[in-house]
Amino acid sequence: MTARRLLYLDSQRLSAYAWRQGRLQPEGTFENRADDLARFAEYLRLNAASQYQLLANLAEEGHEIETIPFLQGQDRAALIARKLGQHFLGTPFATAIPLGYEKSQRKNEKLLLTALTNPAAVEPWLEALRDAEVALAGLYTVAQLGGRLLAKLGRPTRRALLLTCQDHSVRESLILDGQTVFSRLVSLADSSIAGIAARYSSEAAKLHQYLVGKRLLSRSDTLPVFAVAHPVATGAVRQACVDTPQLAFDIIDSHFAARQIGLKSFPDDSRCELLFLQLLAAAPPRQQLAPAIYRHGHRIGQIRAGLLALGGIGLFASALFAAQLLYDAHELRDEARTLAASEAEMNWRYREITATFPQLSIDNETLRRVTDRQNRLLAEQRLPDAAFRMLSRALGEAPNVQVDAIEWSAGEKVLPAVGQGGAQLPSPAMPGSESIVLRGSIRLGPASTTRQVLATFEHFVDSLRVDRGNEVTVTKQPFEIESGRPLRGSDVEEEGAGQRNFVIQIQRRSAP
Amino acid sequence: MTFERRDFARLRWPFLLALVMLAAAAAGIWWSLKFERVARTERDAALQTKTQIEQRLRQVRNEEQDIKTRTQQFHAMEQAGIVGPERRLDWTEQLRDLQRSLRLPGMTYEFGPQTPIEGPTGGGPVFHASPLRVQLRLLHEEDLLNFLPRLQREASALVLVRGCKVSRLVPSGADGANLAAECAMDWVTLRRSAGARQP
Repeated sequence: MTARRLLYLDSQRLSAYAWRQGRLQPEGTFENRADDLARFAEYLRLNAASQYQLLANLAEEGHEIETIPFLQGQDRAALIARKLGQHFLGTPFATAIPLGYEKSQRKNEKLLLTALTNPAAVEPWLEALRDAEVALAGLYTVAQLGGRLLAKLGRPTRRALLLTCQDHSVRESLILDGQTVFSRLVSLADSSIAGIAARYSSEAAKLHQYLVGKRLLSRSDTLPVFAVAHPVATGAVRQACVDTPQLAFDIIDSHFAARQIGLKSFPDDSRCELLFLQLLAAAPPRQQLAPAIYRHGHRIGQIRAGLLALGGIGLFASALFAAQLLYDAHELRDEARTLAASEAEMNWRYREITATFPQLSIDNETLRRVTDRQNRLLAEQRLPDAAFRMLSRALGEAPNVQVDAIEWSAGEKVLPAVGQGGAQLPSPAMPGSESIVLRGSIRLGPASTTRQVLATFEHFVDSLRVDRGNEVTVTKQPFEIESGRPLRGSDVEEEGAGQRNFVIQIQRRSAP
Repeated sequence: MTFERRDFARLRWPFLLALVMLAAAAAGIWWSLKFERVARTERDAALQTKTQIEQRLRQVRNEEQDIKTRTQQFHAMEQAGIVGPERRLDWTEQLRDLQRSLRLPGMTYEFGPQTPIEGPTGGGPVFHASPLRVQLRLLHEEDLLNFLPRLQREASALVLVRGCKVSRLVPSGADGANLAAECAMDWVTLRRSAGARQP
C-alpha cells in the first residue's frame, strides 16, 4: 500500500509528517531557503513512492461567495474559471466550493471561491514536488477543514465561529452550514497559555464586529464561538473568554478532539496543526487548490493504481469464478461417483436376473428377433386339408361332377407358374389366403341336354358358394354360352358328348 | 491531463503487471472451465450409462417371463433341427422314411439351392429357405393329407407348404396309384450369415 505523507505549510516553514493509522510522525522541517529546498528535494527523492497532501495555513487567503446561473459541464467550468480570475487575479491556487442552489425559479448556484492569494509562498514547494515527480493528491487550506472539525466533534455547524491556534498564529473562521465562508489569520505574539486565552477572547470580539460590519452576521444574534485549547489551557481560556450577549464561548479540549477524530498522536500544546492534518488524512475535502500541472504525478499514480486494481479485480473475480467452477466440478465428480456406484449395483442386479435365464449363444435382442420371425413364418404355414374337405362336401352333393385335377396354393393365385417340363406350379403364396383351381367335367350320359348339364354345373357352383368365405370364379363353363365366345354344335353326336369339362377358381381366406 | 513520454515509462510495469494478472485470470478461468467441462462430461457419461442399465434392468424385469418363453421356443427350434446348417442327408432320409411309413407308391423330389429370406442382421443368425419340389404317386387324396402334416412335424426344418397340384391318373398306374401330386414347399432353417459363427 502506498505510504502517505502530509506537508504542513505556514508562513515560515514547511513541516513533513508520515501518517500511518492515525499516527503522525514528524519527518522534517524545511524553510523557504535554497539549502532547505535542496534538503526537501532529497527528502522527496527518498520518499518518492509516497502520496503527499499539502495543508497550507497562510495569512494570504481569500474567500468570496459568488452566485452563478444554473449551468453544467464545460460552460460551468469556464464561468467558474472566469469568476476565480476576477476575484483572485494572479494566483493559480484557487477553487470553487459548491454551496447549493438558490430556491428561486432561476435556480442559481451559490459558490464559495477560495484562494491562496500569495503564490510565491506556495510555488517553491509545489515546484519541488513536481520536480521530484511525486504524487501530490492536493493542496488544501486549514480554513477548508474548520467545518469538518466541528462536525466531527458534534458541534452545530449552521453558524459558528471557530478559533484555533497554529504555529504562531490564531485562525478565526466563520462557518455557515458546515462551510468556512470567511477566515483570517492573526499573529500570536505571546504563545503562553495566558496569551492564547487573551488572544481568543479579544479576537472573537473583534471578528464579531467585523462580520457584523460586513453584514455576514446580525447584530442581535448570539454567535457560538468554539475555541480549541490544550487540556491544561482550557481553564485559563474559559476564564478569559466570558460569554456576552453576542458571543457564547465553548472551549474544546484538544485531546478530546484528537480522540474524536481518530488522532493517536496527541498535541503537546494548544496548537491544532495535528488535528487538521489528521482530518485531512482521514477524509480530504473534495475541492483542492493545486492546478493540474502540480498533480500530474498523482494522476499517474491513480492510473497505476487503476491498472493494478483492474488486474487485481480481474484476478480476484477469476479466482472466485474458478472456485465456483471447481466446486461445481467437485459436485459433478461426486455425482458421477454416485451414479457409477448405482450403475454397478444395477449391473449386479441385472446379472443376477439374467443368470436365472437358460443360457443361449445369442443375446436377448437377437432372441426376440428370431422368435418373432419364426412366429411369422409359422403363421404362414398352410395345409390343403380344409380346402379339400370343402371340395369333398360339394362333390358329395354333385355325384355327376368328376374332378380331374386340383391345384391348391397358399396365397392368392395371380398367374399360374410354369415348372420344369412345362408343368404348372402354384404361384407364390400371399399371406392369409389360399387359392384352388378345380378342373373337372359333368357326366350326365349321352341323353342329357345342355340345360341339364348347365343346371348340374350351376348347382355344383352354388354348393361351392355356400361357404361365404369362398370367392368362386368360373374360368371355363361346360358349354360356352356367353355372347363374347364362339358357340359350336351339330346334329351329329360327337364322341364323348356326355363329358363336359369346366374350370373353376376358388379364392378363400384360410386359417393357419 | 497530458501524457508525456516518461509517463509511459512509469506506467509500463503496472501495465505489464495488470496484463499478467488479467492473463492469469483468463488462464484460470479457461482451466477451471475445462476442468468443469471434463467433470460434466464424466457425469453425463455416468448418467447415460446408468440410464441404459436402468432401462435394461427395467426391461429385463418386465420381460423376464417373455424371455424365458422365447428361450424355450429357441430351444425347441434347436431340438427340431431348425437352428444350424441344414441337414439335407437327414431330410432325404426323413422323406424316404415317410414314404415307406405311408406306403406311398412313388415319390421323386428336388431340393433347390438355399437362399436367405431376410436381409442382413449385422452378423446375427438369418433364416434361410431351401425350396423343395416333391412329386408323389398316391392311392387316394388322403395320402397327401397325411403326408404333409407328418412332414411338417418330423422334418428337421420349418416346412412351409406353398402349393400342391393333385391330378387323376388315367389309367391307374401299375403300382396301384390313382393320383399324382406335385407340391412346392420351403424348408426353412436358421443359421448365421456367411462367415459368422453358428448360434
